[in-house]
Amino acid sequence: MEELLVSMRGLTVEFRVPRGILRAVDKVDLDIRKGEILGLAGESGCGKSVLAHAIIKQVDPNGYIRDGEVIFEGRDVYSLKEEALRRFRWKDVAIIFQGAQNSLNPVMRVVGHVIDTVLAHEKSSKDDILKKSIELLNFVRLDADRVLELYPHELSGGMKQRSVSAISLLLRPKLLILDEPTSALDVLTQKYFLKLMKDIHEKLGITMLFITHELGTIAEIADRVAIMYLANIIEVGSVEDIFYDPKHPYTDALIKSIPSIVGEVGDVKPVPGPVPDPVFPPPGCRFHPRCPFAFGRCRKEKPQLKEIGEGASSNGKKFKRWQRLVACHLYESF
Amino acid sequence: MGEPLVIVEDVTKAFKMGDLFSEKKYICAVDHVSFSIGEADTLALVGESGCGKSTLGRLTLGLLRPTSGRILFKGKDVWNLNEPEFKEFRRNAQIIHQDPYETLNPMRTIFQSLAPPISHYKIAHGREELRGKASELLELVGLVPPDDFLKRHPSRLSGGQMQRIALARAISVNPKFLVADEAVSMIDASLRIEVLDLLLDLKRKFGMTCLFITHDFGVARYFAKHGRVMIMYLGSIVEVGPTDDIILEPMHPYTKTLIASVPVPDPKLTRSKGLPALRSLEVPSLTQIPPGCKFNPRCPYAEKTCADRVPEVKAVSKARFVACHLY
Repeated sequence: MEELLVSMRGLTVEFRVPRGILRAVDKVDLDIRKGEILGLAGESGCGKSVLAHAIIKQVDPNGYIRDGEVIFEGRDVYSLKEEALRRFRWKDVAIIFQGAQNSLNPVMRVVGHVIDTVLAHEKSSKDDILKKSIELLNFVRLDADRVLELYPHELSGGMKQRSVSAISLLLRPKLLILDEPTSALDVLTQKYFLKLMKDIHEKLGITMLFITHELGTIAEIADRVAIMYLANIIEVGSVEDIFYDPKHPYTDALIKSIPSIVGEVGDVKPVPGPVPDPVFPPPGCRFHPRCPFAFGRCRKEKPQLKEIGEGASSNGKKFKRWQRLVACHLYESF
Repeated sequence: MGEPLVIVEDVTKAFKMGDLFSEKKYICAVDHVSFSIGEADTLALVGESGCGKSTLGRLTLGLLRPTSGRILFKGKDVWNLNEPEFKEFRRNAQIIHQDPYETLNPMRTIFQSLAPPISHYKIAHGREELRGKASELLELVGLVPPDDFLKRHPSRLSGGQMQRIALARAISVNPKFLVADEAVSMIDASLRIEVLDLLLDLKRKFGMTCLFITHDFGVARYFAKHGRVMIMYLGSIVEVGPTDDIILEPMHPYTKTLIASVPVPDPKLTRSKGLPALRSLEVPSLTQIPPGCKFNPRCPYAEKTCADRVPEVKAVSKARFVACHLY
């Protein structure tokens, strides 16, 4: 078995909304392996961000973690005391949010952010911090001496994104969560940002959880992919298995629905039917009202995420086993 | 290409920047742009955020007045029309916005949102006729049965359904020209194609001319598969041509790097594409536009003339136009 960094079991997160209880994450089991880039993909509102933030026990005020556990290197995250949890956040796990410009304090120079970040978590001298930050800023291809003295409004969107990336690496986290980091960037900046993240991953060996609704971005960066639909993980596999041999009907339909600059325009097909109301999700398999293969059992019984085989990947030799997991009654016979 | 319906003639739009106390600066959101769209044709306008594509869209609709240059609709300058002519132009030129949640008044029912333009342009009279027309429109955009929707408020609709209402309202006055400004970028990926198909279907049915504005090359290709694509960079047109030709064989260095950078949902293919060789990662600020070709500080092929002279949009073949000194 490959070594696990994070293991989520039965994770359930709910929100109180005016119309009732919205279950954003529903009994999710998901592992993040040491040294991988795991892509978490799904449409907006499927719960992918909520799931990622639950790893560090962070939920919006109207929400709560109802059930489940998160084990990080053998430690139970949800039983950490307040101070231990504070240290765990950012030191063990760092997050880069969507729209990096909003993560920086507008009246503080970059150098202030750098020093504050380190001092909040460990004892260190200013010289050491500066030395480390210059190294990291140069690594993300910024002119460190200049950028450290600038205020956020003096940086372009791409520069802010790279500064935040450098700051997030200051404490050498074991896991870096990237929550839609490229959605606010233009196409060219996005391409360079992804390359940079791959370099960081390879050179510093940081495990990454990359969340996006853009399947093209997932195809570019992920080793393994988990697909989420209405609060459930419905399929997990190597990036090549997911894109070239999708098993779940939703994964298949989602990939076929992307208009791209390659392939036949005529092959692009919409996913049939509307997205159900997440407060009152359909019974049984949540995809059954839209699924062309649905049969009696799909309407009554919710399929569990099960291993259906070894899976394969020609993408490097990173892991010995590329598990394939699918939550669909069509694959019960395996 | 059909007879030109919309002609944009050397149009520039400058905006004043800065507050009362600072020195006045002007930025050119649209900089000496010329093009035309033929009757019943589709033109996809592609560019990155801030390149001026939305401003250009609003100029073609007469929603913004150009600083210089002219917009012609059916051969007439839209800023030089008499009142009945302008009213007719306003009816003929409609827009669909990006954010369906902000397009519809949350206090009004769907019927109350659909009825005013129909009655204003005297397309239907009296409550019964209005209701009939509104139901017809809802059926056209696939919201059936219409009676289910007419009394609803927008809060009870999904984003995709709201965008269908916006579309129904835009076509309710039988426009000849439709500008779709990022019309599907806020819609769930799985529903995007449905809305695009609907838009294409209605465009065909009513013979509308479309200016389709997007930042997504894949979406542009899908929508304008039989039309043309125009690429914009920092307020200028860099390349225009038939959609497939541009995607298969981009000519302008900016278009080339853009197409090489678009991620595709195919792991082997997308990873095989290397980084485009740009000289600089930073997009210049609109207040400090580089002299000569605007792309020259980033362009891997830039020569000395590129920084000296602004390249004109030139025809390189029958259907293709490019603004680059290399051609």
